[in-house]
Amino acid sequence: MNCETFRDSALDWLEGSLGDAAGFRAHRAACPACAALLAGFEDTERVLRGARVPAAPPELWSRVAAAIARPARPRWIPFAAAAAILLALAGLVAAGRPPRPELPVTIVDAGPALGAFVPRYEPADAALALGD
Amino acid sequence: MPTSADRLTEPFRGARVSESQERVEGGTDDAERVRRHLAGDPGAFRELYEKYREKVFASAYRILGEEHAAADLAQEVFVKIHAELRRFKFESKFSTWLFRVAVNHALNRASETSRHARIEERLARDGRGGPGDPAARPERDERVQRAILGLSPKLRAIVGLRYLEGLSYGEIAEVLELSLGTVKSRLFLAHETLRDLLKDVDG
Repeated sequence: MNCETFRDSALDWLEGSLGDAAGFRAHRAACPACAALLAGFEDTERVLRGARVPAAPPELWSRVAAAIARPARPRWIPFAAAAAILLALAGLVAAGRPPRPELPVTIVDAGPALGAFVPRYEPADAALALGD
Repeated sequence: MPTSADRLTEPFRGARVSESQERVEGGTDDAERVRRHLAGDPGAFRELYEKYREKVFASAYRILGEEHAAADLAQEVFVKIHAELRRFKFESKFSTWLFRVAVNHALNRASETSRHARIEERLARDGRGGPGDPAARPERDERVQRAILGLSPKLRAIVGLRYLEGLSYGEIAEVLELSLGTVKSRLFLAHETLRDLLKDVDG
């Protein structure tokens, strides 16, 4: 075992799951740096295992019980609410759309039919006749 | 009403007790309790709560570092577990599922609260920490907690699962849905950081 494999094996050693324990011990005895690393890890582990944490507050169960006693909101309610909101918005948009402005209707005399615009020429002899 | 210091004098219900308890009761009892709950036994969920309340609270406390936040989170976790119990598949241990829910909730909360870190720092300076006032705790335990809070939330989660809950590396990998190698490398990193921070703390 070398320093690298020793480091890789250190956590397994701490867990008690290391297969090559003899090789690990031999390297620890021969390498002060790795021995110091492991000693530091073992000290840290001892401190962490011995550290206490506060206990859960005694009223925690009453809080949990009150919360789970509340009638559960059916899962479809949020979807139904979202759908209702969308419908309402759509209705508002439709209702709020400004009406098309009513253009003033002007009745335009379209005049005579197209055929009426065909110029009519008086016969030349007739015009001459007017100059009489 | 008991204070934090009073409650610290209660028997510690962390890793050492829980490991022996787990060995005695095993995971099959949990599955049986889940089945009883699903069959309508009103006491079954309370039994699961009593068995795991300290573990869930302690894990939350290790990650969040504050008792009120840990209690709120523990409440949320048990309410969620109660609501989702019908979906529990008996393929894994109940405790694995419970820890996964708890740790994921706590990591999400830690991520949210990190945004409010400045407010928390100000409150701490003003001495308005509430019943979770660190000054009420033994200095040694407080130093350990401060050192752990120096780690990233993900490393805190692994440290808590290992040294509070007493899970093996393989069980931690299952709870956090990580590879065994990732769990070990993160724990190694946590050890390297904590070794310096805790070197003069008596074990």
